[in-house]
Amino acid sequence: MIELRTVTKTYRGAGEGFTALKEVDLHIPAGEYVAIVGKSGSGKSTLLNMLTGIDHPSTGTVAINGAAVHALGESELARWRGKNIGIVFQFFQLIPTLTVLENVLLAMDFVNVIPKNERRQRAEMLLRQVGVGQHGHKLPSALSGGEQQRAAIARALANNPPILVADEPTGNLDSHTTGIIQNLFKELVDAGKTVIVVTHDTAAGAGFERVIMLKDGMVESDKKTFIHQRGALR
Amino acid sequence: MTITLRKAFSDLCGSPGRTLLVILALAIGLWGVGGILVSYTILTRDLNENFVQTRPAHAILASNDFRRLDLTALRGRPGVESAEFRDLSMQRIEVYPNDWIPLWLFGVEDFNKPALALIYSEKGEKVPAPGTMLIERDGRLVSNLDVGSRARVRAGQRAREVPITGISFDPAQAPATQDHFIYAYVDKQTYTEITGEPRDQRLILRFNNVKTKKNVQAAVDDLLEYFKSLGIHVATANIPKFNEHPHQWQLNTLLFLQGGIGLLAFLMGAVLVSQLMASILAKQVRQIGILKAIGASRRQVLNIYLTMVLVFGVSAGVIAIPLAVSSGYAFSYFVAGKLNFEILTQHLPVHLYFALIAASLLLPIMLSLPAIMKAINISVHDALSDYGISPDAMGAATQKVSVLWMPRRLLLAFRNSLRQKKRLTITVVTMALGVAIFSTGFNVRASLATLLEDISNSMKHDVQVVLRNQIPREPAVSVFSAIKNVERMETWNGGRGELQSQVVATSSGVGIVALPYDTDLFRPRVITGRWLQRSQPPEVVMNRQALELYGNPAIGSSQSLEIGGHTLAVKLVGIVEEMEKPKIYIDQAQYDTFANPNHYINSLMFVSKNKRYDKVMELKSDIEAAIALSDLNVLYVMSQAERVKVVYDHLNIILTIIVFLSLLVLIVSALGMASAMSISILERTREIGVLRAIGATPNGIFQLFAAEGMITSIASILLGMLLAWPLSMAASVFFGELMLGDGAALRYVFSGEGFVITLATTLIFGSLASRIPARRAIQIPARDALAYE
Repeated sequence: MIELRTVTKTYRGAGEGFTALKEVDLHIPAGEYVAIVGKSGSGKSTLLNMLTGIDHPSTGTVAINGAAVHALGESELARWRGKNIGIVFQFFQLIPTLTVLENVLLAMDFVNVIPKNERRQRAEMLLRQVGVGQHGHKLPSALSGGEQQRAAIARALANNPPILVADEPTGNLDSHTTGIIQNLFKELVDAGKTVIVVTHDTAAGAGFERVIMLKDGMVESDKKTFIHQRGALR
Repeated sequence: MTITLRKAFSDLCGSPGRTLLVILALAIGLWGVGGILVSYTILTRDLNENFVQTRPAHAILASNDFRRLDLTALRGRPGVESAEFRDLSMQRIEVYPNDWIPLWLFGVEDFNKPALALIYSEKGEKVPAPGTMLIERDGRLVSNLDVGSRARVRAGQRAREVPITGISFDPAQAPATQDHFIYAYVDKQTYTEITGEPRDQRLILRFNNVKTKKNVQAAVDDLLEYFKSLGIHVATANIPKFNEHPHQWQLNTLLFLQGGIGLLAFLMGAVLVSQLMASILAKQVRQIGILKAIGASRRQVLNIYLTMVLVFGVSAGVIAIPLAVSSGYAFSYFVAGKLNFEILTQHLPVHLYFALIAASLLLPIMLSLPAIMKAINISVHDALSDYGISPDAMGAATQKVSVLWMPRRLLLAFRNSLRQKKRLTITVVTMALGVAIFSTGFNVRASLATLLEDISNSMKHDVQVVLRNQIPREPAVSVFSAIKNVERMETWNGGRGELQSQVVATSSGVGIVALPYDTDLFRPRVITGRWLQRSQPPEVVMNRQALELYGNPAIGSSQSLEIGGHTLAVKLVGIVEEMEKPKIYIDQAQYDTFANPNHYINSLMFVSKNKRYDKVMELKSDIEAAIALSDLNVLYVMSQAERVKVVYDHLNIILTIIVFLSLLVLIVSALGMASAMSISILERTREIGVLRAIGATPNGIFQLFAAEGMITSIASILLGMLLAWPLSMAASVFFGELMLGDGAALRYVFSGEGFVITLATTLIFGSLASRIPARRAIQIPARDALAYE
């Protein structure tokens, strides 16, 4: 469960400060598939950074599955993040000097929750699950954008985190590949994971259960979709 | 291999050019510093060890009364460790047909079991048979003599052939190549036969429990009292510097140069490596952000980058340590050859290897740790937002450049140069130091050249004949009356060099030069006070070396000169600067009144009519021919050109090393600039793509980077030249003190030739350092450059 209370984030610049988030309250139960939408500069990425502990709120609290994320130090955050959050970036951000398989293994090595003798098998399984099992031995540059993003999702799932956060994961992909990625996310939600996606694309095909609209750093709307209703009947 | 290790290795292999550059920079720095450490270790130990192993004499006493001395009784005296008669006579030896140089002939008491002042057999006989002699090995480098040669030795009017039956090694002597002497060793009987001089006139001693020259002086004073009680009058008591080789000063200079320049090269190398590491980590910031985002702790990230740095260190160590050891040994052998001593160190101390290994491993870690810590401490948010050089990196300083009128491309080059101010500052300062050292090397060379010129100008004679004894003037002069090409001749008592001090000196062995006070043949540089005048009490002028021995008395003070058992009260009126043995100058007439009532002379100064080198050498040859027909007992005949060469040979090794090491520093600094430029190009790869996209030609981009290189070079030259001035002044003081005595300074000379060479070399190096990476930059296709992260 994710709980944000009166989160404000102000960036101090050369002139007056810029407030990216203004007293945002948010509650996301486990297993929900959430879209965060809004125009450029509305505070989407800042909100995502608050959820992942990548950035700290200026005021307010962020609690995720009982952990006060806003109060954790850098090292604690790294450990917590590795176990609890999988992050998918817009530009994939795979380590270019490691193979796709090694990228997934690296995440497991860091967090050390998956037993050593199971890591390779799990990494290969995850890559197969996202549909790039045959590319494990290749460097990321040898893969297409969609394949790289699927590998990045496999990496995000490496330590079996309960929450997956994705920042514009399909922003750089064609519509066909976008569909594949969206289906992957839906499968993860069906498997019980919480998936939060910053996106522009809230079409019905995306399958979100909830859409949170941000404007000027505030929640303008927070609506459950009909899919949620369907999910409720599930 | 773990994935983290693999990442470290993959990153290194991903940019092989930059990895090689870092390893090369580290290896060069380690090689330089390691080589210096190795040779420093060897040289500091070995020259002294060579000298000390000979069990050098602590004191040398001369007397005509030693026949009264019971040597066995003397050896039994408490405090006397060993004593031996080791007679020494200055004669002449023909090194090439009709070319004679001084011969130091030692009459050795016991070749088999000498108790002190040991000499080693190197080739041929160890003990010369009666009538034969051994020569010191360095003598072969200034002659055509060797085992089996029959050397012509002239003692006074007698010339005889002496077979050479062996080559010896005497590391306690100054190298023959520099002093242009030959050292030879004969038994006592042969010594008397060759020289015609009585034996057992020179006593060499070692004392027990002495650790300083002061201890030795006390022991000698005690001994002199003992001799007095025996009725033995000691003419001179010479106490050499305690356990110090006569050319230790040269080694000290070299070691200082090595240490100073090595340290500088090390610092510059360190700056270079830390810059490279910072740039590598700058490029990795986003990756560090990702690593942290996927769960890596700071320690884990630190481990990855420390592994990377350790790979650099190990690779550099593998390359540099064997090179450092071999080049350190090579340099030591070079110096040992020049100073005539043996390299005794066969195995370097283990701690030195540990130091080199530790340096190769720890150095890169220490140098890159600040950059690593900075990179891993950055927040994930900041790391993920990092795209290299931010557009606002240009501050007010860069904006100001816009007010200057200049072509837009040059303006862009200026602004780009100012974008990374810290890096620009480091690059310029590093290169400026290289320029300053290089330029200082030339300035010091020019100062030394001026010193040589001063020496040459101070003596206006062309050929000097020095007699082994003082004789009446007229018979000496008449020997040369028929020689042509002589404009005029002056006759002195004493003169320049070590040998003269053997003939005319104070009781404590300080050379005396009695010359007409108004002579125009000697015009040394007076640094304090004035030159001689004829007045009462008699005046003296000392050189710095003599001044030191007299305890640095003030100008105008009264001094007592002990000459031949008499004491003369004199007034010190001036100090002259010269590269010489300790000398005291006095008016000849006043000296004669006091110590030379018969107006004897021992030095004849010839001024030739025709100053051409071949004519002067012809004059010298005529003088030698006249001497051969005479009964003059000649110590040496030397042209002024040859004397200048002797001084030059003493300085040559230092001059060579100065220029070599200075060039090394400049190369290291150019390497620094090349790396800075490479980093700059790497960071701006995407920008190059943009420039290409908006129409810049490859040549235009190449010119842009070349212009940036030139801006850096010119700034470095300007700063370097400014730094060179105080550095040259300091170097002049240092070398002056080393060569001319305490408080002396070489004259600061700005070397115009050096300036041009420095300017050209720096511009060439700077141009290469910017053009090579720039050429690489324009080979990146625009598409790849635009896609570069």
